[in-house]
Amino acid sequence: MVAEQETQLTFAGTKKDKQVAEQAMQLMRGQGRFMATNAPIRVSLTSLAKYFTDQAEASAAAVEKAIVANPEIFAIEERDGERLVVTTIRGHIPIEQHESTVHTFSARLMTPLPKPERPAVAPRERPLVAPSWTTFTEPADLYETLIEEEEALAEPAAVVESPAELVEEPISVEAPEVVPTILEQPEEAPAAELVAEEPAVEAEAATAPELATDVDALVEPEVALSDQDERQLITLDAEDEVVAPEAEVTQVEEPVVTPVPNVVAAPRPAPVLVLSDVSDVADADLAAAIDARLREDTRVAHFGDHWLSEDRVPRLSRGDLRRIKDYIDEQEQPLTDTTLAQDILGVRPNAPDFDLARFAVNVRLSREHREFDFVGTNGQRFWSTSALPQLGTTRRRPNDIGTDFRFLLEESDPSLEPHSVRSVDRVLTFYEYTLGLLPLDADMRRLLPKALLPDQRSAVLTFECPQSYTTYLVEVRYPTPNRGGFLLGLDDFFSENLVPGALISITATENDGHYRLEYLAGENQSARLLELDDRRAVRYVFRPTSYACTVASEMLISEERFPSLGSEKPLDDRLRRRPEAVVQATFERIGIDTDEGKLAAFDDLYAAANIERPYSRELLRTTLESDTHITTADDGETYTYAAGA
Amino acid sequence: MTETTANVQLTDNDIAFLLTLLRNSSVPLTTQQLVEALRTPPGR
Repeated sequence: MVAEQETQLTFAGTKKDKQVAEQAMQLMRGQGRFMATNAPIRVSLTSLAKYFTDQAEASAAAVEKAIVANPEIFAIEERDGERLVVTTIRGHIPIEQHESTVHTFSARLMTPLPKPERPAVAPRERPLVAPSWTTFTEPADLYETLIEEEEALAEPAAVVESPAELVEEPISVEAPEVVPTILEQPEEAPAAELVAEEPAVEAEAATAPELATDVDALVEPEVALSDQDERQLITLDAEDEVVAPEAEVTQVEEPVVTPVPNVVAAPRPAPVLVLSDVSDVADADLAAAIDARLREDTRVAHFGDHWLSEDRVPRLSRGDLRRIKDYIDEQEQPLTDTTLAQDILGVRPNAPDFDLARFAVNVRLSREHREFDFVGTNGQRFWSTSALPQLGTTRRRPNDIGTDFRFLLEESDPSLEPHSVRSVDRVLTFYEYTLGLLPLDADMRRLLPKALLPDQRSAVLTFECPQSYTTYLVEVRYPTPNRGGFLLGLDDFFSENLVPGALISITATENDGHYRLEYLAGENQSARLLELDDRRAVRYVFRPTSYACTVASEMLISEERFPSLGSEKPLDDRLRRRPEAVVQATFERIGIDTDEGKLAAFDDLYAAANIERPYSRELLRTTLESDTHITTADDGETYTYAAGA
Repeated sequence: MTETTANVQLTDNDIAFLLTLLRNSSVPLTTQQLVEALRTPPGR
């Protein structure tokens, strides 16, 4: 609580006046008890006098006398014919306050000041850059930069071409008589187009239509021109008078070119660059030749099939590189060059230099081998760092999976064309389902693109699953000399939507890094299906499972079909690496006892053998037929394994 | 100096032409664009 301490006042006048004035002051303070300290307290003089009169303390005249005697404390106002005594709690007459309206918010809001004019700033000096580096010039200008080499080879010949009658003849510029004629009629050939090799000669030719008259007598019009000569033609417009009837034709024996100071200056002629004739060469061969030459050229920056002069590629600072690395690590997944150009370099996708920024990201990161790995495709260029966790399952190391798929190297067809088919259909095996992967077999290699860079080991693709409204990052591990290729990262999709034996389809899109993954949906079904239980002791168990996808019954691992697989433990890794050992173990697990040994159908063997390690049908067939303990009596429908044989 | 790849010989002039093309371009060029540039150079 804040208490306002009353000011001790000193009143003037007689003793009686002082008493009356002090009492009047107390009365007025009581009247304005809740008013601001400087707010005027008004009490009519009549009511004040009446109070004193009622109290028999003073008369009205004495009251007014006491008020008037203290003009610093009291003031008397007249309002509507009534006299009012005015004071404040502080004990001084009210001070009239004038509200300043010089600056008000409403005035400023309604009448804004005009926009201040910017002071003149001196133009900032910019580094001088050759125009050829800052502006794009038409390809025709290319010749200008190479003129020196060609000038030495060019023939000092020119031909005058008239619109009415084409005259393609080398101009004999040696005639000294020509010079005066040119000087007299320089304006008669204003629109002459000069494409000749010798500037001085062209100038003379362009400004001297009479020259053609001289030439007519000197050169035969039937002269056959080569391609190079055709580029050295001089063409005159229709208004040029090529032939002057009165001109005298004279052939000069000794060629002397006289300097002509007053001749209209002709533009420097375009140089002729003799390029190879590649009209008969296939695009692929020409592209290979370009690639072979430019790839080793340090003046050229390249990434994938994109090329640019090294000097034109923006450089990334060490800070940029560090921020890119931190950003990828922070996102915990590979990021595309598009994302990095936008988020790190701050270049908007609609900016004219956005493609250049993406190219710079790709070129510069490709040279930081220790920090960054390219894991993209031509259409979707992902970059990764060594700190990122691997995509996909952790149940099995990628190197071990690659070893499992080693048989794909022997089955691969070197003539197959990557990215040549639109879609691939597959049936999931137990091995693929459990690890969330797909083999990079011949079908998948025809669907997917090959590695963009020569030393690229993996690529990250995006698989869009419209049935589950999700998109997964899938890592393609390309084959190595001793490991097969495969795709990782589909374990969540498989476990949430599918069971072993499900039918899936992978379809390519316009982007070679993006694919659509679909499965064949079916009615809801329930069955006791095999699972790998690796929570405690690792073993196979049958569990009731509901699924809503169509399955290939021959690949479904159900308890009804293989009851003996329940509670089986996975085979030892050393055993798993040998296909024949796994086949024998599979016979032991699912085979029917006969007099000859364990009998099993090929389809059952194929489904059950794919529990432990991946088999193609070819590999399984080869393994069965190469094992001396295994025989078939019906051309491969069923096989019998004689364990003790 | 020439180099032959699958019966294709690119001369120094060809390479100089491509280098100038790459220097004057403001965006990266694809290999196919370079192929087309060699096939139809300006002035031919």
